Amino acid sequence: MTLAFFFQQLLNAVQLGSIYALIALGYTLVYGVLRLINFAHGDIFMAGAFIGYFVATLLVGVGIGWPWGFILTLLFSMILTALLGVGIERVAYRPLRTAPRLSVVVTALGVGLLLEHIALGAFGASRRNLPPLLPETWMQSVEINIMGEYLSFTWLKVLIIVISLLLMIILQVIVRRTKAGMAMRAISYDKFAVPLMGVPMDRIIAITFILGPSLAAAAGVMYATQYPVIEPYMGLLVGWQAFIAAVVGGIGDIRGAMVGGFILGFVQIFVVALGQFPALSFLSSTYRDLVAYALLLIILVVKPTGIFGVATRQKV
Amino acid sequence: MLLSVKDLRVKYGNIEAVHGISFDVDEGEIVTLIGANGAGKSTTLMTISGLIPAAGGSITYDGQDLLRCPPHKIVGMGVAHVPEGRRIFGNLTVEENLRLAAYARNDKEGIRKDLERVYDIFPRLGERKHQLGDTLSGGEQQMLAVGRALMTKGRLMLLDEPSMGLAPILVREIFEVLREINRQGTTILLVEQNARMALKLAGRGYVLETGNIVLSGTSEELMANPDVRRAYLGG
Repeated sequence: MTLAFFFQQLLNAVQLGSIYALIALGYTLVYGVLRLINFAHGDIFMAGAFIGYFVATLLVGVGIGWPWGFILTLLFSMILTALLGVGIERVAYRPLRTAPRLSVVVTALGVGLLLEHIALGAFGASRRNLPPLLPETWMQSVEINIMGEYLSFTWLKVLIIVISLLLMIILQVIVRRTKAGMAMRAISYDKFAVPLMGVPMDRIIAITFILGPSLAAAAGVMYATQYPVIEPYMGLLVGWQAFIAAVVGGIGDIRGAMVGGFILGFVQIFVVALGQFPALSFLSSTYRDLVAYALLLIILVVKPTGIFGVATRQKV
Repeated sequence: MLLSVKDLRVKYGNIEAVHGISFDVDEGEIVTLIGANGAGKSTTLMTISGLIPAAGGSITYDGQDLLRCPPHKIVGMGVAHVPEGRRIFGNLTVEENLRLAAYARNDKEGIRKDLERVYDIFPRLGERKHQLGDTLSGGEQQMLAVGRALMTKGRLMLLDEPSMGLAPILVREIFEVLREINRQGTTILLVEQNARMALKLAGRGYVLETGNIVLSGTSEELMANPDVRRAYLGG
């Protein structure tokens, strides 16, 4: 493998991985405070992409393009999707706070189906493309010369990586440095004693449902910029993959979600990339997910709680 | 009267765990509820701090009705609860545990002063302020649990089995601190299985047996009572 080829695939892997990581963070944040796998999260990602689509159409329609059109689309999609997330928690999950866990999981699946079918009913099944928010040249391949080899990439990929990393840093600051973040970490350890510290649980849970869905919305908009497929079921496969990334990283752990996302991105990209070499031609893209998930299963066999996960303490 | 509990009943599902108990605590007092495992002591404390709902009766603190108040509001009103088993956040540092307990407060200067006060009372917490809660010994965790209660700026401190699982020398140390905290103005309601230590510290006490208060009186009276001596003080 040449160096240029390697770096090119690395860039692809980081870009795909950062989308997975952003979504995986939403699963892990909600799991941390509610011990709930929010199975609607993939569909929240879809909703974020749709909201982004409508905001972008509106903005481009009134002549707002690069860069403000893109920035505002990202921002408004994050805000509106956060509202959707908070609403879902308020209406669907909060009444079940003390219900058996299975009821909440089934409700989450139901919320996901509801979102899909609202989108299907309202917008139809046809695929939509985001209106052009970026300059043409950002989507075109650029080639740079590395030691006589050509590395080709698009600035869009770089942009997605930069924005994703920025969002992850902001999330880290919120979780590590603010009172609400401290409360979120405390809840993930032992939620029993948290109200005794004077912490309003409902507000912390609402904040969690602001953070997770807004990250999913950012992922949705960027995903739709990279792959022009906005449709009601787009959240299914991506959502499952991000969920698996969160589990592999150790669900409930924020570093785990990021690392899991990047690992999944790397494995998927490099399985296909390596398949281009004659000796490894059995690794065709058909086998991409087979190999990827086999590897992830091996990780879980070796460490069932995920890379950063700790076994939950059973408390009386 | 700072805290007044009247005819309190608490149910877990269909099973009533506390059958209409009444007791009160005056400002500045140390009062203890003693009783065996399962008598309903923890249940009573958790109902006062709003963690579990009451099935009947009333709880009045400082003239306000506590029933139907969410727990974080009750903390804000000045009721600090040191739960059974300490419940330290092991993934947070000692200082983060203390700062979290000041969540409802906005007086930056006051929080800083109270942190210093806690480190003053428990120098070992000051030495370990950047360590994770998980790395503390049982005694240090109990100190941290009491320190957190101080950080909420509670006027009334509810303590649930602070002696549990600690060596006698540490129990004496903790109880010494509780006496000092009380001298500085905090009212204390102490729940204990270690009746001897509890009655030595408290001015008054109530004996709880399977959800009913069967005896009450000053600590001297209770320690002199033959039933109490037989059942809780080992003869």
